[in-house]
Amino acid sequence: MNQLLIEGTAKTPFIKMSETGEPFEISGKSIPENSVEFYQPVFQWLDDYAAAPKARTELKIQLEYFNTSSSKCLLDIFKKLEAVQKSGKSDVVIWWMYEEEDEDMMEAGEDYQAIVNVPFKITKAVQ
Amino acid sequence: MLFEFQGAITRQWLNEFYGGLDNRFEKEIADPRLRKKVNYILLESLQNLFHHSETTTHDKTAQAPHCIVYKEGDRLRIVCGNVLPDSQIENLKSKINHINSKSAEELKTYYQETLIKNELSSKGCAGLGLIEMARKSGHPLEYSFRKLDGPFSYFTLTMTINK
Repeated sequence: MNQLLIEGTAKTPFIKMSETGEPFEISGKSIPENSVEFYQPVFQWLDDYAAAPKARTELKIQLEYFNTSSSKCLLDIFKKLEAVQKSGKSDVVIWWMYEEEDEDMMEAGEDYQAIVNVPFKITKAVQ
Repeated sequence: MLFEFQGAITRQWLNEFYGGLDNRFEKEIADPRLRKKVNYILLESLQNLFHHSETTTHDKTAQAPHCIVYKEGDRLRIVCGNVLPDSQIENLKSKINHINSKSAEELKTYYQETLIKNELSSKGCAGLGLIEMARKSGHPLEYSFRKLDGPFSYFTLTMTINK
């Protein structure tokens, strides 16, 4: 599979996903007006990945802002990873990282942790 | 007055707004956490106005969408307004009243439930946005409707955050 690499902008996050065994990465700001449009290639990539995932699948996500339209797309990404876990083909871990003193982002992680059924670890980002 | 905008919200204007996100209110609001909350609420409000303004023809009149942020004693107030078809009023009222009836803990749960439940729509979801704004501001959402000509009203939403 090709690597997915999307450069970050003022309103969309940096995204990198590959089958090299490195963790998937999502970082920056996710505040586009239409998130579905932006995340479509990510959904597609994950669907393709799910057909033959690696033994271990890790996602590291660190966002400064995300709007409500992104929040749903993020949930969709987490749900796709949940399905990969359920398929038994891969061990999935999600790391939700937040900057020191960004309690709101930590709490946002707790919201997802409550509704996503894969190991979901909330940690402070190391600067 | 910290921020004031009135008129049609275009993608281009929004892009400029995003560019200034990191530094906005640096001088006026010392607390970084508060600053981020205000920026967040402002962002959600403006994007909401962007999505819901497309369907009306009131942009060029005094009923254009508007958004202001100002200090009032030890509070910050964010006020947004836009034109709305009358048919949407009851639904919106009951959504806001429902949100206002909840404690912080209940709002957290309500947010999670709504997040799981909602189908993606092309305009994002005003329901989720309102819940988030109520959570971030920590105060009940205040609103009013002013009747306009035709089957439209001007909806104003006010959010309060303590400094």
